[in-house]
Amino acid sequence: MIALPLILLGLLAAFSADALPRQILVESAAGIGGAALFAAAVAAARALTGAGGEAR
Amino acid sequence: MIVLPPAAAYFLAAAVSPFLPRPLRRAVLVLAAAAGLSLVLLAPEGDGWRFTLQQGIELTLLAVDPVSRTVGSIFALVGLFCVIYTIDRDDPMLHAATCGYLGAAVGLVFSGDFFSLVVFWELMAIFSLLLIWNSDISGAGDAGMRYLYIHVFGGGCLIGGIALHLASGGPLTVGPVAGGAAALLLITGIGVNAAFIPLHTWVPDAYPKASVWSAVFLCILTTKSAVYVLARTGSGLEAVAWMGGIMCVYGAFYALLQDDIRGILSYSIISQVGLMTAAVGVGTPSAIDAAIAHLANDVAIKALLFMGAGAVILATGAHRLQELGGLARRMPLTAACCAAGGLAMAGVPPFGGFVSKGLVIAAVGEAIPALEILLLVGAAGTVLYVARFLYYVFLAGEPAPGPDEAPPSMIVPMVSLAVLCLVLGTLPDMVFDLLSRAAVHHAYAPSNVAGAFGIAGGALLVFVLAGGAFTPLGRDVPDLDALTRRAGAGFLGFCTGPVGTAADRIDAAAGAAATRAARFASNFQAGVVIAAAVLARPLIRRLPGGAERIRAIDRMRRQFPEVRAGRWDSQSGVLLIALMFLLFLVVYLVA
Repeated sequence: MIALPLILLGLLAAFSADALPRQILVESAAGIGGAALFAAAVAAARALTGAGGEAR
Repeated sequence: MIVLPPAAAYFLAAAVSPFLPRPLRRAVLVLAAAAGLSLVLLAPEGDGWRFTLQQGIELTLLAVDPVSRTVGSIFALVGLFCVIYTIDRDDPMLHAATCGYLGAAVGLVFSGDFFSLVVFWELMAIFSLLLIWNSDISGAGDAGMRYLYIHVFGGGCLIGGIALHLASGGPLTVGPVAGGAAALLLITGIGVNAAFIPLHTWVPDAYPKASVWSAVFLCILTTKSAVYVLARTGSGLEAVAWMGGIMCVYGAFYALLQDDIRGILSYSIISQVGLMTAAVGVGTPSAIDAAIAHLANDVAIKALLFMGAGAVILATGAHRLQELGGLARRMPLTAACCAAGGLAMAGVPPFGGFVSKGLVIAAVGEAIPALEILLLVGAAGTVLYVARFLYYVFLAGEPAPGPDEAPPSMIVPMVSLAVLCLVLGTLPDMVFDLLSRAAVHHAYAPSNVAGAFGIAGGALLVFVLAGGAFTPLGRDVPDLDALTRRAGAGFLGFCTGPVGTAADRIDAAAGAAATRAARFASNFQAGVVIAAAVLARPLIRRLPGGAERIRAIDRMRRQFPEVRAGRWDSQSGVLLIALMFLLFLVVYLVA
């Protein structure tokens, strides 16, 4: 699932102007960084409120 | 050609449909929704249906420009799909309320004056409240009451803001409201309906408790019409833009902390409305266009996802992620439609959300670069909660036994909306042609496509790696309304406890005093004589024959009220009245 956008990103990066790789890096970093922030905040909120949960 | 205001078609259906037999009612509802859409598309540009009231108030019921036509068209088109979704439900009140709600929303969009706007705004609140109460789900009644309280507050603020605007010489025509108290009140009133933080709690409170059929209407109209009114009256305020950024992140965060599938979608409404609000707050023409485009996309996306969630709830009887799973095998079409809606909301090409979200973030970034970062973080959160929703409802686990795919009346509008999400993404000029001032946008520039995949891919990577943080929850994590509800419960406890006890005691004391006064008044003259004699008892005892006189007084007391005293003459009465007037004069002069 993760491979598909990464392959597309690679193809786009290969055939586009110089500014594109930077754009890809910035947006990917925003995606990973933002999601990581959410993951940490959600884990903290779950622990603090004792919301529980289950792994599937 | 004279074109009726589109709201008329919906209101007519709302008034007539409850009294029709079921087959005819179904036909009338679909025809009314189709007629409403046709009237929106046929309405000529400019102001129409103008009236002057006796007080000199000029009403404009059909103010058509590219923005109002875009918003009206998407409301009417998606409203038609929503009507079809509910058509198999035999509930005349549901259908009447949905038609009234659609009519009020479309009427609001085409209102050219503040007077009509307020009327339609309040009608929306009334019809949406009826839709919330039209539910068998536990807690719907209380949620409706809380919805009523917050919308009474919001409506009051809106009316107050408009009144101040008009009192300061502002025009009645719907347009920007100058700063100061008028703008503050107006934006607070709009902020209630647009779910500004912390006025947002009615959304996740009421929408998951509404019936499956009501929720598909609720999720598309109230918040989006508020964004539209904000764009008309309160754009270009940086504080509003930052509020949008906060909503975007806050909504995404809480969507990840919900287990109720419609709770997730309710917080998603707040997050996506945050994006629109940020763009409206920036207020440049390109930002407003982007906000309206995202509004149009989100109406289609939310209707689709709430329909999908409703189909899942009806098929399984479950509404929590913990109780769901693996439904893609049992309900493949519903799963595919929800996937389309989810991908559109996550901003993945070639769906509509990709185009409008990119435009919003770019427009906001040009004006307030720091806010762009907040929106990008919110976009990553959107990918996470969409992935969590789709994975735990449709992919993970084994499906529970039960009926398979949703009925055709539900599948047809879901597939139609999925196609609409795709069309809004592949033909973005369709939206921007309606917004005539918009320039041609190069939405599919390689950098934009790459950026969208970058965010989605990065967030998905985190979803996979940190999966434990996103598993189904044992219970929803409380929001700010947990505090207000606790404060409210404490206040009620205080009212029914100490205040109630004190009130009971005051009531008992007043009752006893009244009983004594009534007894005293039953023989007033004798009572006065006895009271005076009792008070003067120490003096009377010293008089000659005092003991005998005291015994006489005690006899009178025992026999009261039957004992009779000598009648007072009329002069005494006049004297008493004169004394009362004198007392009144003294009190008046002193006070």
